[in-house]
Amino acid sequence: MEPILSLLPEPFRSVILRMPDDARISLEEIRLRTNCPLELVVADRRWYLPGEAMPVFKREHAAEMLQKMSRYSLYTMEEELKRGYITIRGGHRIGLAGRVITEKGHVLRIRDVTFFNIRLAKQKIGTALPLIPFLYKKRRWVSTLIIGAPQTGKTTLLRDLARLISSGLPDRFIEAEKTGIVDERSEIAGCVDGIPQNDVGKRTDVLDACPKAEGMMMMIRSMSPEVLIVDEIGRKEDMEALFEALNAGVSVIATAHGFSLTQLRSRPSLAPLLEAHMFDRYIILSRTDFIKGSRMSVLDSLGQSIATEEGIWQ
Amino acid sequence: MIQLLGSLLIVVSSTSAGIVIARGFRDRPKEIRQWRSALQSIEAEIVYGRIPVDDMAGHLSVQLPHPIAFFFQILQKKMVSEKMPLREAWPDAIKVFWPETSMRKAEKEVILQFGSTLGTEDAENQQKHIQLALAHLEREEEEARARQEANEKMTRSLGFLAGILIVLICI
Repeated sequence: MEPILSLLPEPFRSVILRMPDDARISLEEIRLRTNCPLELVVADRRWYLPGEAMPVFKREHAAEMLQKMSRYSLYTMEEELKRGYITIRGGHRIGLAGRVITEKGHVLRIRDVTFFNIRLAKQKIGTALPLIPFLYKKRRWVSTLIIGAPQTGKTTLLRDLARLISSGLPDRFIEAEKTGIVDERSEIAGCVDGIPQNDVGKRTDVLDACPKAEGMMMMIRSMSPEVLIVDEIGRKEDMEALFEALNAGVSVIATAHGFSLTQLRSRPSLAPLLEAHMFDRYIILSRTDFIKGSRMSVLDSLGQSIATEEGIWQ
Repeated sequence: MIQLLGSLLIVVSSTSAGIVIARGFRDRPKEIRQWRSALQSIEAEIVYGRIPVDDMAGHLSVQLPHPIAFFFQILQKKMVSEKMPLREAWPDAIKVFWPETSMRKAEKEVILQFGSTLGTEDAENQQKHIQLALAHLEREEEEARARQEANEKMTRSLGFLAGILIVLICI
C-alpha cells in the first residue's frame, strides 16, 4: 500500500487511510478522473465513505501525481506514456488516459494525462496448486494454453504456475526448473527497473517489457529455460515464435483471450497452432460469479475434458 | 613603531580586499564553465540514461568539482530526505548555494529558468532547454572573461596601491 499512498495527493490519501480495514483489504482499484470525485472499487463494487462526499480530483492533482510517478523526471516515462500504463513498486499497475498525440497515425505518447486507474496487485499464492497433477507428467511440465475471457484470472494463474515451477514442490517430489518469463506488459512479474515485484520463484529469469515474439527467441537463445511463460499470445508473429520454442523442446505455458477452445480454433492466427496439437493441455477459465470466483476445466491435447474444478482466485 | 605597525596593517588589509575582489573576477568565468559542463552531463544522463533527477543529482555531486558539487548535494538531500518536489527543491537549493559562488544575477536567472523546465518534458524537449541554457551561459562566460581580463589585475594592484595611498595621507 505504501508505494501507492506516497503517490496520491493529500485529500485522496487520507480517504484511503480512513477506510475500514476490511474494505481496504479487498480494495481493487483507485480511479481518478479530472474534475470527478474519487472512485474506489472494492470487491468489484463501487465503495463510498459512509456519510461523506469523496474529494474531487483536480487538474493540479493530476499534474502532481504524474510528477511524483516519474520522480519529477517526466522524460523517464516516455515509454510508459506511449504504452499507457506504468508498473510501480509492489507490482501495482497505474493505467493512464487523456489526450494522445500521434505521429503518422502511431501513438507518440499521452500528453495530457487526466485519467488514472490504480490497479492494486494482489498475488494469490497457491491458486495453481490444484492443476499440478494435470500439468506435471513424466517428470516434466507439459505445454499448456490457458484460455479465458478478461478478468477470469489467467494472469494470476500463470504467475502462480511460474512460482510453483521455478520453486519446485519438494513434498510432491517435483524439482525446481529453470523458468523464463517474457513479460511484455509487465503483468506477470510486475518488474520495476528489471526487478520482479511479485514472487515468481527462485529459478526464474524475466525479460520485462519485451515484445513476445522476439522475447521468446531471445530467452531460448540466451537463458536456456526449461519452461517458458508468456502472456496473451494471439498475433501471427507470436505463433511463429511458439512453434520454434515448442520444437526446441521447451515447455511453453501461455495464455490467450477467448471463451472456449472451439472459439479459439476459429481465430486464423491461432488455428494452425491448435491444429498441430502443439499444446498438451488446455485450461479453460470461466467466471461463474464474482464472489465464488472462476471455474476451470482441464482439456487434453485433443480437447477432451479431463477435469473440472471450481476455484476461488478472483 | 605603532605608526609603522598600523600602516602595515592598512596595506595588508587593503591588499587582501583587492585580492578577494579580484578572485571574484577570476572565479566567475570558471564557475560558469563548471555549470556548462554540469549541464552537458545532465544532457547525457537524460538523453542516454533516462536517469531521474534525484539520482542524477547524486551522480553529479560526486563527479563535479567544489562549489557546484555542493549545489547538487543540497538538491539531492532536499528531494530524497525531505521529499520536496523538484519545482521547490531547485530554487531552495540555489538559495542555499548562492553565497558560495562568485556568479552574478544573470547566471542565477538562467539556472533558475532551467530548473523550472527540468523534469517536465520528454527527453527531446529537455535537450532543447539544455541547449538554450548552455547558449545563455556561454554568452555570460564570454562577458565574464572580458571583465576578468579588464579588471582582475587592476583590482589586485589597486588594493595594494589604495593601502599605500591611505598610509601616505595619514602620515
